[in-house]
Amino acid sequence: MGMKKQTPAAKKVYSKPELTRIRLAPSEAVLGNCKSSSTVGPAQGACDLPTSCYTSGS
Amino acid sequence: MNPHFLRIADLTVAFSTRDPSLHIGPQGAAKRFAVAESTHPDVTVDVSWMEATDPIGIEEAQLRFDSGGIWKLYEQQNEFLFVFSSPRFIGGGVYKLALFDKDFCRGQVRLVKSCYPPGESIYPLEYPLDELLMLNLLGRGRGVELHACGIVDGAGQGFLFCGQSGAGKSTTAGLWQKDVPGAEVLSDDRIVIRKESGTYFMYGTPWHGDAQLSQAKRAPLSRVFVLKQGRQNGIQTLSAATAAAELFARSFPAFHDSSALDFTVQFLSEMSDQKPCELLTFVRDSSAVEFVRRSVA
Repeated sequence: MGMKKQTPAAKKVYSKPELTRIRLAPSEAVLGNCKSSSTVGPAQGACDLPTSCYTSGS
Repeated sequence: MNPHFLRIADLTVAFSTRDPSLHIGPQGAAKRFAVAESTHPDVTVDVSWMEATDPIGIEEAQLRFDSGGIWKLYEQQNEFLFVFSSPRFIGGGVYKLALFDKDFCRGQVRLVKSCYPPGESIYPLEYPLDELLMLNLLGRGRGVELHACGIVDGAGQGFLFCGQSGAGKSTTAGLWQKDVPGAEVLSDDRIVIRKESGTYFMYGTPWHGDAQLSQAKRAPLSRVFVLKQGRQNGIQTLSAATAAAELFARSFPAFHDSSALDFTVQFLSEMSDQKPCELLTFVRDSSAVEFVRRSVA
């Protein structure tokens, strides 16, 4: 029982590992500030938070 | 105490009050997600007034997450307490508390009376509470919310365009609405993805973007793109690993919850294996719509 011979075509092509940096946007991801200006309440878009207000927008 | 019902991504939240002096109801885009009734809501929330001098009850609680903005999350005895405050009020005062059980099935919202205009109707789940509630529900094995624009073409195919602020989500939504007869925008800023019987669905949410587009509808997910503005239109298929990382960077997980984070990464990894994700470099005009549609045909 011999080992199966690997054909050259089945060989995997070596690809050099790469480091990819993905940009995170933590200030957007944590929902820290206002987004909607269409509601009544303290968090509405008109409030004067110390950080720039996250009014409706992408 | 007639409850109000909101249904977002097939999850129903009921909120009501026993206080006749408190007028509550959905407002803004949340109104589009109101449903007449539900026999088995996923979450039940009781709403009441509190005074600014009432104790908040965080003395024994552990701070689990500080958003750096208007809310903080505390945990005490298997309950979660969101504390909302704004520098609009004296001492950066607290204007709302939201207490939930560990599964986020039952909750209480307490509104500081002096912070609200007398006599006006109040939406007690006002952003960001409604979205925070949804993120915690999704993170318990239900799905993932993405920073994305979701568009359904006339044939019912769901196109997901993911991107952080300024990537062009609202622009994309506007172009598709203008150029594609029958195209519907589920949201131009936030889309929930859930898997049902092996099929991924994208759901509209009330948390819209600049174009203020949102709909209480869902569609099967057909194509997934990560948006990148450029000088010419082009598509590059991402490896599953890169796609999962790019999608995670555009997701809204419950950061305080390691199980929810694990689930989010796992969900996006599986989704990237099953639904190829493409980097869409696009020009901000109608040629981008035509380019994507030709790539599908």
